[in-house]
Amino acid sequence: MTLVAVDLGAEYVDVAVLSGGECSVWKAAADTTDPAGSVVSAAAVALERTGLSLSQVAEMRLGSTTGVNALLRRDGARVALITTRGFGDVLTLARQNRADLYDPVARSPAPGFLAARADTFEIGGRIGADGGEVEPLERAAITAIAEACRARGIADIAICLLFAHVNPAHEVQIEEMLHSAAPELRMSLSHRVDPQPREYERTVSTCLEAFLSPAETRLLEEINIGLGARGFAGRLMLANSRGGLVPVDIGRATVSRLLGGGPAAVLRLASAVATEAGAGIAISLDVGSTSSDIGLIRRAEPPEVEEAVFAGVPLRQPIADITSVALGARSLFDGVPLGEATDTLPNAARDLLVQAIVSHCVRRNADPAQAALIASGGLGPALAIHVAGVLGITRILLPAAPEVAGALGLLLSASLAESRVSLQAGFDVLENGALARSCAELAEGLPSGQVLFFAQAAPTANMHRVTLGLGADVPTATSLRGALNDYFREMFGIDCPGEGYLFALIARVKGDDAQPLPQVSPPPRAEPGGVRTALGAVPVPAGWLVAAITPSHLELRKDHADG
Amino acid sequence: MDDAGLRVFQLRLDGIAQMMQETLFRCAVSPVVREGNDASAALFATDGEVLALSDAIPLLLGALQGTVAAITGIYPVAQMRSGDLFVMNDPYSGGTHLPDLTVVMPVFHQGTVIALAATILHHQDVGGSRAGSVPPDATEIYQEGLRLPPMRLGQGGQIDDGMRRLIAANSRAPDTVLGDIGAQIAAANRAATALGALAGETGAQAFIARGLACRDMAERLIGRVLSALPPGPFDGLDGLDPHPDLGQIDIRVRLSLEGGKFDVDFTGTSPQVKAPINCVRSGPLAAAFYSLLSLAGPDVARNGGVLRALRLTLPEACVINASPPAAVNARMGVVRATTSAVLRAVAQAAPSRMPAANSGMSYVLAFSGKGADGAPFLVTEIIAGGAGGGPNRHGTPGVSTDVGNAMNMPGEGLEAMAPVRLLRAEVRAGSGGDGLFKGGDGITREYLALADDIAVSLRGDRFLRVPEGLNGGGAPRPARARLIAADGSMRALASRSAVVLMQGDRLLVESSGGAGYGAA
Repeated sequence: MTLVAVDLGAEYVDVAVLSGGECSVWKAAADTTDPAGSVVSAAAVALERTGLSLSQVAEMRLGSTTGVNALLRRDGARVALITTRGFGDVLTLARQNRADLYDPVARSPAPGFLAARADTFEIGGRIGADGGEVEPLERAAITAIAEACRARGIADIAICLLFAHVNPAHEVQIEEMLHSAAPELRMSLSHRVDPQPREYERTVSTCLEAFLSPAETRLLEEINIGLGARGFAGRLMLANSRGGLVPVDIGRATVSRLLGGGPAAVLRLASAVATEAGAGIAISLDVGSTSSDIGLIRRAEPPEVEEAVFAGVPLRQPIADITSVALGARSLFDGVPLGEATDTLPNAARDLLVQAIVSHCVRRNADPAQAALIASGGLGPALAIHVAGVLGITRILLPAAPEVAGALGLLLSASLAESRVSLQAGFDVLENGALARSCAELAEGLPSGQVLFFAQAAPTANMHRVTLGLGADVPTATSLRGALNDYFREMFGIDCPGEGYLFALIARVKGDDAQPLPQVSPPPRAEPGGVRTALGAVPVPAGWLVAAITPSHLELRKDHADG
Repeated sequence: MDDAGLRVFQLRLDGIAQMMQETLFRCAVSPVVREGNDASAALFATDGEVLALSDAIPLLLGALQGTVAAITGIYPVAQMRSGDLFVMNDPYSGGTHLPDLTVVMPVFHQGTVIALAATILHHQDVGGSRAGSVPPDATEIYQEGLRLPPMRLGQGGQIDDGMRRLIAANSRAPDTVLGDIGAQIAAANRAATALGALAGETGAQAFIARGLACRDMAERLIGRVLSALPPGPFDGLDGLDPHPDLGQIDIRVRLSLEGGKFDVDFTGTSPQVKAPINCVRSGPLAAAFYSLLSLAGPDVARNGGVLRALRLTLPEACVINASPPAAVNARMGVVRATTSAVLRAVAQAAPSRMPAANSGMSYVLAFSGKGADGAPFLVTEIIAGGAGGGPNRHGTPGVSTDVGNAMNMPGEGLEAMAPVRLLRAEVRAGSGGDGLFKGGDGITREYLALADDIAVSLRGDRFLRVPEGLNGGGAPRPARARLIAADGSMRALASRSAVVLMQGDRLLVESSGGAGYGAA
């Protein structure tokens, strides 16, 4: 079986081909005007180099930095927001707190760029907290909104109405009416994107989806067509924010969940390298051309968070625990031809990167000086030596082909299928029979494999929710109570401060399609002045030693004999 | 250890303080904490100096110093045991007002106490004459609720049964209060785990030594920052809305930066009044500490080393240094006015960095009553005003400023807890002062009562007296609040009001904007 993993960055396409146990890699410049074409041709070239063609490929895995870069550059669709009357300022007012507590100038942390106030439309109609209709939807307003969007050339609509997560009827009515009035409009509905309470956060999620959607869906569509034209008949899997793989039709439905899929794959590779090399704590630093991603690794499984502020946007979805900064090889080595003269790295840019690493680590209670640094990206290894010097790091690990870390990481990813049912009930009224039926229904829609259940729950209906891992057994009210209390005991050392409330049950099946850490061919080998890798060279300056070279990673150590 | 190493050590302590704060937010039961984040966390050295602050509410952060000193004054750190818990809320021992309970737990590493984990949290009800423990008509602290001097709360990480019964017996919402104390214990537990990991890397003695070195470094740096500024003195004046019974209340500030110190003299400030709008020393301390930190900039570590540069001169029995038994529950207005006065003085010392005055106010609004199911509800929210304009951009609308940093109440949060509908939450257009850089607008929130007998407690300020613009900028529009009855009749509400809503009544609350900067 032949597996191709492709990681699309801002300026390069990285490819790893796994066929007959051999892993070969390829890196090609991306045509920024035709990223889809670049993906297809880079994959084709990489395959040709090993005597294969796209028609022989069983599966292609695709990760991408396009969403992250669109966010960092504030470059997405112009979005119109439709919101409940009286709430048109929801993105402006945000949660009322400020970005920097001690800055005398108070700034809002809200990502207002996602939808302009002038493109926000309020609509009458109200759903109450219990989901009942309080006031019917002001349907008459919808035609005018459709016309306004048309006149302004806006095609992407975010719809977020109060309490739509409890009762989506009004959002669905708007969708239907807008669709008949202006079939060209693309709509993102809050109850589908992020069905959770708190209107500001749900509005952000919905606008983000609308902001990213056209470029991402177009890209995926073009890749699909391009691959088909080249004879590809395998399955196309996309890396999601957690570094799991989802089929393209599921991924395309909610593109914001693909955000950071490429960087998540890098973190997965770095975790595997750290484990293989026996590093206790490690920092992953992946330097792309326009952005860099930082992660802290403590275990074999890459770290993940339930919520994050990512590229300045508050996200409420599971995502690899990464800090992404708009500082890539291009800005770090401004004006210096890539691959050259890393001694001329501007100190200011290096210090910004160091600061981002320190801040990522200390927030996770780790001392960067005690960690190993795992560097990747075209210029990551050269840069790592500078960064390590400032941070006091004495051990640097590199994947065997650091230039294509994302593509290698995708090989390690597993497919992840998930289904969710909203239950919204206190633990005290949960019936075990009904829970079992919900679980059976959840499992039905999933591919074969071991089903694991998770609960989104909180001590009370209004408290902040947590996700509880329940294992493979169908949960009961008693086991839910136990799991929630265990969570509070383990995490906080206190008993659960409420009777328990279940928002939703989730079932997940993880595929057995993750590959082991690949041995890259040709393997890295020592050469004068450094190490030759499959796609380039890692210069090892004075003061550093090559401590190990294996087919899957290499290790540099600070030479203590050197002053 | 070199300064770069100390900076990383300080940042790790900051990170742990922030982890405590996130724990308070995530574990809190009461709406004002889990939505508004009305709580703060900090770490203290065993000598009582601040080790690290969370990014929380400066109004509360500034008070932790005094409460920790009061607790360690009675329970010496050397006699503390692992798992001991201490509590206090007495304003006259260093606290703020009675709903703010401070919980302190010592953190041990291999038998040595290395730090104190402290949190302060606004509790929903600690008794007194009105639900919510902020009675607008109080004249003495005895009417304001349960007053706890420094006391042992528990041991082995658990609240003692006696304390549990005492607190429960004195609260209208015992489960919520005990739940939120649980959140405070949870925050301390997480700090203990994280600090243990950190001290495991360094060893207990090196941990203590580095913490001290971080404070010494901050003291050096703040001294350098202050010495580089003109010494002053700089005067600042602000105050509360004039009140027919209480007269004019002024806060007078004279700030001197002589000798690298931040010396704030409040001589000339009005005497305390027979209304609950006084504050105790923690108020001006929080105001001055915040102002000093915002002047310090991001390179100075935010720890007790900075506080060494601070000198406060406070007249006895004045409105910001009240003597017992003055009532203090509605202290927010006077602390905001105090901060505004200090910031006016700071703006003269560092004119290029400072914007025009912010709104200098926020509302505390509480709805209470009995729900359709007979269960009592009490929901408190905090409504910000606008930021000041300048020095090179328009002021941000509807944002918490200076010693405030509370988050707002989502409509979906409020309506799920109280029979009230939030009809709108909008920027109050045109309420910020005019100018080259306009003041940020305030906020308009309009509520509809869905049931009879909903008690509303409203505390605000800036209904009459608003700040002037800076360098030719304009003043903002004052705040106002109105009750529109179901029959359409309208009544203006005073800045501190207690009213009862009947079904169909609407409450319209508008906060003040920030002042403008420069001539338009």
